Amino acid sequence: MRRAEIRLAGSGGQGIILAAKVIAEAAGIFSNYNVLQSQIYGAAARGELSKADVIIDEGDIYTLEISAADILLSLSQEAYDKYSKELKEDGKMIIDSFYVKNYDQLDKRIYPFPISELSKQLANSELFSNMISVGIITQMTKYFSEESILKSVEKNVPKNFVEMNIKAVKIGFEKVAEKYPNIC
Amino acid sequence: MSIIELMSGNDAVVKAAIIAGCRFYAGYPITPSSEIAEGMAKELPKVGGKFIQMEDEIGGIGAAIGASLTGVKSMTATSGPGFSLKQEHIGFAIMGEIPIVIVNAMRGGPSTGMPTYPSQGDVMQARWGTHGDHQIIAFVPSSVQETFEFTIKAFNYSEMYRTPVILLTDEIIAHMREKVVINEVEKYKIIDRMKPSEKPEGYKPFDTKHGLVPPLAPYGEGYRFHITGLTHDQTGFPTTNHEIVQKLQQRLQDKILKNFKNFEFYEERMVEDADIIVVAYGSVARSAMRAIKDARKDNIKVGLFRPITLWPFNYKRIKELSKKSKNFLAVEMNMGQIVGEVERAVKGVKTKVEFLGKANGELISPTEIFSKIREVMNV
Amino acid sequence: MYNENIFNYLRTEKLPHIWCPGCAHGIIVGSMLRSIEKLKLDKNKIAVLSGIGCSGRTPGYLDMNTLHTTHGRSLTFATGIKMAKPELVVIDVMGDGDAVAIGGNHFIHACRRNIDITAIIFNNNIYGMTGGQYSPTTPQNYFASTSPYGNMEPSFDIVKLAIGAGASFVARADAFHIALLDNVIEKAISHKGFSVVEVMGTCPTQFGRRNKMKEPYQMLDFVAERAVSIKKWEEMSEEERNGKFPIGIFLNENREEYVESYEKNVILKAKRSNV
Repeated sequence: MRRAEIRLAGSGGQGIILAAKVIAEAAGIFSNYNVLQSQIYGAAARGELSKADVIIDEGDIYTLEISAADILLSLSQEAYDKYSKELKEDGKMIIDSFYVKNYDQLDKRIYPFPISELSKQLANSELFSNMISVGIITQMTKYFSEESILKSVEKNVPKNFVEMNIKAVKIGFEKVAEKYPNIC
Repeated sequence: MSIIELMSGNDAVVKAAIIAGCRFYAGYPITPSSEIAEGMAKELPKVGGKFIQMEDEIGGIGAAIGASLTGVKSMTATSGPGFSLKQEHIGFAIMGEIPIVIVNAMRGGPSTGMPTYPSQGDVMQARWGTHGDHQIIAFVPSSVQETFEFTIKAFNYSEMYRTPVILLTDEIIAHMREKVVINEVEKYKIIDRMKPSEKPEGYKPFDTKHGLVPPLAPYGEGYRFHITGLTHDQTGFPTTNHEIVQKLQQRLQDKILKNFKNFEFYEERMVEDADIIVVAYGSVARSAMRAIKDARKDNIKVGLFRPITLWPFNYKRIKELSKKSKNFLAVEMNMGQIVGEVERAVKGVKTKVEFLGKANGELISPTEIFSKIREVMNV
Repeated sequence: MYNENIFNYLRTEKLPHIWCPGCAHGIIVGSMLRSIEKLKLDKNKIAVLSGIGCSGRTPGYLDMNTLHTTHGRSLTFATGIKMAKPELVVIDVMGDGDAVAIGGNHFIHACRRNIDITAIIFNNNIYGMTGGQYSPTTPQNYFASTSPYGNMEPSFDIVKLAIGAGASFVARADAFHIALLDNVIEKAISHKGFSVVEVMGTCPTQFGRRNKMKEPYQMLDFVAERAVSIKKWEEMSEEERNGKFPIGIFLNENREEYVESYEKNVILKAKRSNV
């Protein structure tokens, strides 16, 4: 595959960094691509803007930073406002339609999902928004297999939570299949 | 079997240090190097090693030097302001010829600067930060894999030459995660310091009969020797005898410079027919690799020289390259440091040395380098 | 007091020492060696460190594992040595400038950790080697090369500082009352934990000369006359205490030592855990 640039953004505490790590390992360890994962450091402990990038490439990765993303996940309005301009012409943006209310309805690159709502339905908590997003991204991009992402989840989440996280990822798979069967 | 792990530069330092045999770490928290301290605090006691968070940066390197004197491989890590504070004891380790590894994850400066953004502003400080004449070994890796490998090498050369070795990463390399191939521990060449073969009677900690690097006995094993930061004779006791002091100074220079070929690491790409050679190191070299590929597609004959051993600087290789290429372009995340060394290297040769640099916390992008190449080559 | 066995612990070829006539450093070193000899310590297993200044030259005369470090930082090196090789007896010799000026931070944290190091502070109330500048323990109104109009700064009470910072053995002695000096140094070295012995010394060359006590006996009198036992001190009024200092053992507690605690609490837990 050619170089793919994924940017995950949301609020601190939404599990953005873990989601990035899961995606990076799915591509890098459980599929045989080169990957580079980075994130902003500093203020994103709770509630502030949090951002993590994953670059996937068959060849060597020389450009260490993303200027425009192929895939952009926005889990908060602030994340949308800040990064939506940095999406490629042929890129895709996945938004949590519960938190991102104010977006360009005409932009065909935007794919809204009620991510946090789905998480609440699953576990009465928004804790699984990140893994639902991971499932959505996997299914929409096909950068790596379902198997790779599930293995990566198993490796990266605490033992007691593997089952729930895998359920969350699978919800992501299903929602894409339901809503955008053409993509699948 | 080797394994592949996704890890950050800081994680790689921790993993590699343990493999290299590091069993003592003392440091002080500072961004962006703190994950090294955190990792060592977790991993060292698992292998029977010890970690201590000291009261300040000076104490961190002091304790590491003390531990090293008992024969235990030791390390400290820091960033910008902390690197300034460590300079006093880097000098002590040079003078006392005590092995130790110092990691500096470079961030924006001067002063507190930009703690969470990268720079390459400490490369000259790594060379000349401590007072007095001295040589230093410093490595500057460009990837997480290389950070892993050169952490092991840093320990090896530190032990081999009884000298502090500095590993210079930056905020980008320290924090970004990449794939690292880790082989079985036995596959790595691990060098331990030479211990004296003679009996304690007559042992001299700075004995030149062994050549440029005298064997170092660990404290507590019957050798009862003395080490001081003062100029000293071969027994380790202070002297101001000018002849003896000059010999000591010369040996301290020679043991690094005359052995340079053993740790002269660099990478070259497409330099053979190059009209212009980019000199870049660390994270910036990654951008340079992209830029030269793109420029080649446009038929600009550009090559790359990437020093991994930054100190001592490889003047000789640059000079050789200057006979092939009429132009050099030094690219650094600072306002011009290594470019001066490139100029020194090509002195007397009809070669132009150009510079591209900035110190605003942004990584220099491939596009910026490509544009500068075009500008210099007038295409 | 004379004990010829102490020569076994000396690098006699390095003598005579550099200290001035009338300097108390030799008295303190003699006391250290008598204690070490009395405790029958193996000189191969003793590490002696120092900082910078006149006291800094002490390790050079001792036939042990010796380290002459940087100014005020010797405790950091000592901490590394003790942690990496706990079987060594670690003695750190410091001047007043080392311990409570440039190295004050290292000093209080070594106290707090209660690491098994014996810190012996050679307090001569002055920077001797650099030419008689005032130190944090120069008494108020006394003269130094940097206090030509009299020192206006209050001085440190090292004993109170050490107790406050968490040392588990704290004593003060002086260069005149030798029996007490021998006694406290021996106890300090035997003590498991961080022990502090402040020894009130003399510096006729740099302190005495500027303060009408240029003869060694005058300086020794200056120390002897001001030193009072803790017991006596307790009975004295504030007014009587003025200009004097108490000597003796102020604190001697058994408390968990740092390296043992690290081995017990950290290494054991780490080896058991799989995190």
